[in-house]
Amino acid sequence: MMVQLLRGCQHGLSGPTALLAVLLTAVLLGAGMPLPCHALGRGGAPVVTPSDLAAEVRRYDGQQVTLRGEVIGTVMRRGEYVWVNVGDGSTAVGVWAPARILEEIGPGGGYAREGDTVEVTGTFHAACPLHGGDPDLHAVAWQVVEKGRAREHRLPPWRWGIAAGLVGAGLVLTAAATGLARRG
Amino acid sequence: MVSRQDLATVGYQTGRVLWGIAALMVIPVVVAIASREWAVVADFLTGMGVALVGGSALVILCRRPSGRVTWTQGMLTAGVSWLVAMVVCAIPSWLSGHYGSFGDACFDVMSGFTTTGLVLIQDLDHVSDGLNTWRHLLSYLGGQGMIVLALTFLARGLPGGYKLYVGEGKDERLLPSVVHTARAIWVISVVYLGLGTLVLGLVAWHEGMPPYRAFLHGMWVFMAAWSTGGFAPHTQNILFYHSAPFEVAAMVFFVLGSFNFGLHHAVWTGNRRELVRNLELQAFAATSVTLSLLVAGVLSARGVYRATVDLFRKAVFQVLSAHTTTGFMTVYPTQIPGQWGDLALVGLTLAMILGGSASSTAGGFKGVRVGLAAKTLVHEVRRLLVPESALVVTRFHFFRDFTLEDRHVRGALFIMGLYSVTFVVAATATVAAGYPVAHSLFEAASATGNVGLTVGVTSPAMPWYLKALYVVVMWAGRLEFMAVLVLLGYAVYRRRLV
Amino acid sequence: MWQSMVGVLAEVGAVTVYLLVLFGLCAVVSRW
Repeated sequence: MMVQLLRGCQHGLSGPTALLAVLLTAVLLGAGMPLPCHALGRGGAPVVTPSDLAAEVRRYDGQQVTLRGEVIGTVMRRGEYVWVNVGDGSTAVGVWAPARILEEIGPGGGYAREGDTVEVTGTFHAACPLHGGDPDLHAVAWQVVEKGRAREHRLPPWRWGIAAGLVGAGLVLTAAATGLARRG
Repeated sequence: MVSRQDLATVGYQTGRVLWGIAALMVIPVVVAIASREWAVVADFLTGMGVALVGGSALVILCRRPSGRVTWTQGMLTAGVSWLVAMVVCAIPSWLSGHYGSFGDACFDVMSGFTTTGLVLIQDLDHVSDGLNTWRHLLSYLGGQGMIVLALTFLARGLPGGYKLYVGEGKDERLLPSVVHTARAIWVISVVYLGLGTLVLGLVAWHEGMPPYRAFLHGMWVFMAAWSTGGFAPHTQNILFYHSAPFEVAAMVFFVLGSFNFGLHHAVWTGNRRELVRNLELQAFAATSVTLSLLVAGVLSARGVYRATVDLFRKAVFQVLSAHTTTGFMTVYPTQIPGQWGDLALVGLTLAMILGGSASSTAGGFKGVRVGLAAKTLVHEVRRLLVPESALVVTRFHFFRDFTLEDRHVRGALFIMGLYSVTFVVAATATVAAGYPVAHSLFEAASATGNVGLTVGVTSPAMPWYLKALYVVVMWAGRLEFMAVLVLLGYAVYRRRLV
Repeated sequence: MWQSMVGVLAEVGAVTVYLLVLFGLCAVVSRW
């Protein structure tokens, strides 16, 4: 487990830097402090957000990562696979997953609802050769961390009052204006 | 200098513009109802109410003007009504809660009107269908509206040239020829709206979207494509769809949308040869192919993309998106400086500066001016090579045959100069705000040329003064500085007379 | 009306050809 943890922390470090990281991690673990790297997901893959991936595509290129975020927009089925776009409010990353993921995830989030929060593990590509160079993640494992729910958009009655009032006043004035034009 | 009669006319016309806006807000309301977004309905009814109240008040207070609309009145109306329209159109956007401030909402509205496509909207992936319809509609209509406005100023202008209508034709008719041209533009745009929504909608449906979503996305993306705006309903922009057919269809429509409306009109009335003979298209073809080769070559050499399809869907797509000043993206903003590198970034910046066609929703120098600059180069070289007494004649074809004259060259270079100055000012301000130089050049080119591609500079966290500057730059660039200059010129000239 | 339809086809056709040319260029670039 230690080795897995450390491997997960390395993010592509090499040689002496890696050794330093190992030593540092060991010391910090001993001191009971949090690890100086991302939290770890399935199989030791670092947990990242869509913003992390989008900001540093080269860093994560070819890496096994666990992407955590909300399913947003329409999930698009393409034969035996689906595109699930996983977002975090700022940006989103396309996840290419086998169609059976549809059995577990609900409709994507949008205005009416918050989508399921998922953690998807797989390899991230900065320029996927299978998908025309798209930055994407090919899912091998996933789990729904939190089910989505409906988003409340109830407006207080006074907002409706203002809207109605303004439209009403507007229509009256418009009638007056057009009436005046006809007379004038 | 500006009479009460002038102000009254401006007020009256602005009032009518507000009425128009109120009517347009019906469209997002219909979509919001269809999508059961009741709070959104309230937001738009509020906006409608403000537009009706404000518009009617102006119409009542500023009696119907007698006589024809003069140049002063036209210019002032242009300036005032677009500002007022921006504020009123921002109301439903701001009420949605997706903007950090009312100013941010105004930024996005101006970005829509000028078909730029830079956005300050937050949490775009949770935006309602009603608001998305409004955003894309503003781009589609704003594009047409701005063209009509620009044509108003160019009514007696020269192709690619520029003429200061200072003190000239105070009592000239503005409306009739503009109405005629506007009608033609509308017919073309509406026909393509139908065709485009159908094609993109069908592709979206084929690519896995249910019919209603496919229709909405098809319509929205078409509106953004045709108007070379670049808005999209998701944060990933066109990357959201992960679809080659969708991207190709979008490309076809945004390239078509970047064409001169005069070209559409010519081709639709039987003159199909114009597609090949037109100087502007020749220039665009030459520069876009060259820059595509450059960017694709660079990306291939760097190993970013190797396969043909990848190069087409990434390099060519972004270059064309930049060159037509659309602003659609199929990569993340940070990839351009971070993964693509400086040379590709420079290539894209150049494409953005060169721009699309005149009399279209595209920005930048415009193909006709680039073509004229190239012709001028050829002309000057030829003059150097022949004896001094010989006469050198250079010709070009732009809807009809012309002989290259000084006035063409002067006009083209003048506007290119103005663009360059504006670009430099915007870039310098961006650097001053703390952004890296390459990023600043890119973003400034995007704002000046009404493109919409971004490397991440444009964001809610941008300093307020930079947001305000970009709003002015987007507006000035879109109207090709005409309104700004004519206003200045008129003020100066009138003062000297008096 | 008919002429306009032909016009649309001509324009769309022209742009399609242009895109094909660019696609071809990508093929050339990827071979280098």
